[in-house]
Amino acid sequence: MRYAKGMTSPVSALSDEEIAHRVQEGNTEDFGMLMDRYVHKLSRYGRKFLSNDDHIEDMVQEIFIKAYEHIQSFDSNQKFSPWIYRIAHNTYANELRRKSRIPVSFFDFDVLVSYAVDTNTPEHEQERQEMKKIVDQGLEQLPSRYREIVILYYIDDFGYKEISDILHIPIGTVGVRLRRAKESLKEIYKKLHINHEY
Amino acid sequence: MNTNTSPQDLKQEVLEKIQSGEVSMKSRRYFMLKVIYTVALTVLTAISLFILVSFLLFSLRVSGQFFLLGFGFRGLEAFVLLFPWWAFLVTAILLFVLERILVTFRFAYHSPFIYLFLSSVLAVAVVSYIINATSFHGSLLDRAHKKNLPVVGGYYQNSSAVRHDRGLFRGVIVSIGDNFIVIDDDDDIRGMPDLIRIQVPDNMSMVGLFDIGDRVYIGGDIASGSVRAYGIRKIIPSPTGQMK
Repeated sequence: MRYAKGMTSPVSALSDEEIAHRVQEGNTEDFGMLMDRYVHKLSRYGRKFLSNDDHIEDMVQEIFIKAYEHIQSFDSNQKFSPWIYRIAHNTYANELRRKSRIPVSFFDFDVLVSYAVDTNTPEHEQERQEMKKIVDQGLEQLPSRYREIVILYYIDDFGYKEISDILHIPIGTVGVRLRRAKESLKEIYKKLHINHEY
Repeated sequence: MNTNTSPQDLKQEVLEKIQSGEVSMKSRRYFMLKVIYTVALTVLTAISLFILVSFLLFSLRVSGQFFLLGFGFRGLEAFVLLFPWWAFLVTAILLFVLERILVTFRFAYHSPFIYLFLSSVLAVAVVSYIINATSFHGSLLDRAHKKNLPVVGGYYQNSSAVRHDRGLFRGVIVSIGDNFIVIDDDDDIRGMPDLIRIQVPDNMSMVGLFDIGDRVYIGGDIASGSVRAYGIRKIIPSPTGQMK
């Protein structure tokens, strides 16, 4: 959308990064627009990652408060969504550790070594679309580290590099975890007698 | 907040907290200081590692402990017993701290951890080797001997000491026999004469191997005022005056 010289664009027409920049400059009321854009996404991410935790709304509020407090650390030349998802990941992962009787380890041998990744091929895109249709099923039975990466890739549509920024893991590890998550899902679908075509 | 909070209520609650001042934005200066602090901590940890590892190499060299590796199984055993494991432990802890700091940077977590770890180890090894090749630690050792090095002076003095209690000696050959040599030891050893008779190993030929006046490093067992050696190594002074 183009605006005549001298006119300012409505906040709703601005990108997340531009709004975040405005908040950094002191337009704190614009933070509400960012909340509008992310409240559903972050709630969905939390519900799926934590399997319908009763306190998701509290945690989403906590995420927004942390985001506001730390907004000056956001580099507006980078994308906003991985930045706020990083805060969400930390919040949810802490909650998962707190709730879990068995210590939840997010350490993975796969972060130690190197893997080549093959992204953005037409096959990848087709497979991604197929997976999106069925990925909700069996998600709860996946281990947390695989469940989270499936949510970020198939449901929230993040790319490998963005997921790497959210989880602070190497890009190659994103690919490996996704592959293992799919293999685990296949096993789960077999047990649940769900047909899958990917 | 209860489970039925609508997104609109959630937004309103957060905005109210912001407007009431209950929630406030941390300043840009706070994050800049945090970055400066992180970078300073990284640099400080790296410098500590460089100095510690180069000191470790230096002390192994000046005390002659490196020579033990050429003295067979007995030498290896003595090397392991005498190795300053505390320095190794501190090095490992500092490396762990360095890795923990580095993985907070984008360039670091984008690559496999093993690359980061190996790069750090390589960097520490190369820089420490370079420092060890300079006169940095040598000049500090001189100051320590002149009692002109506070705090770490003791470490430097201990670093150059030869462990006689472990059967290690360093000195100048004053006499050579068929199967023994006599050395004038570098240090005054309580309970031992200034001149020490060293019984050479049975399988070691003395012909042309040593000359009077050579400085040698010896590993052996003390027995009735003399030493039965299991290894002898001639010390060749380096151009900088340090032995190698």
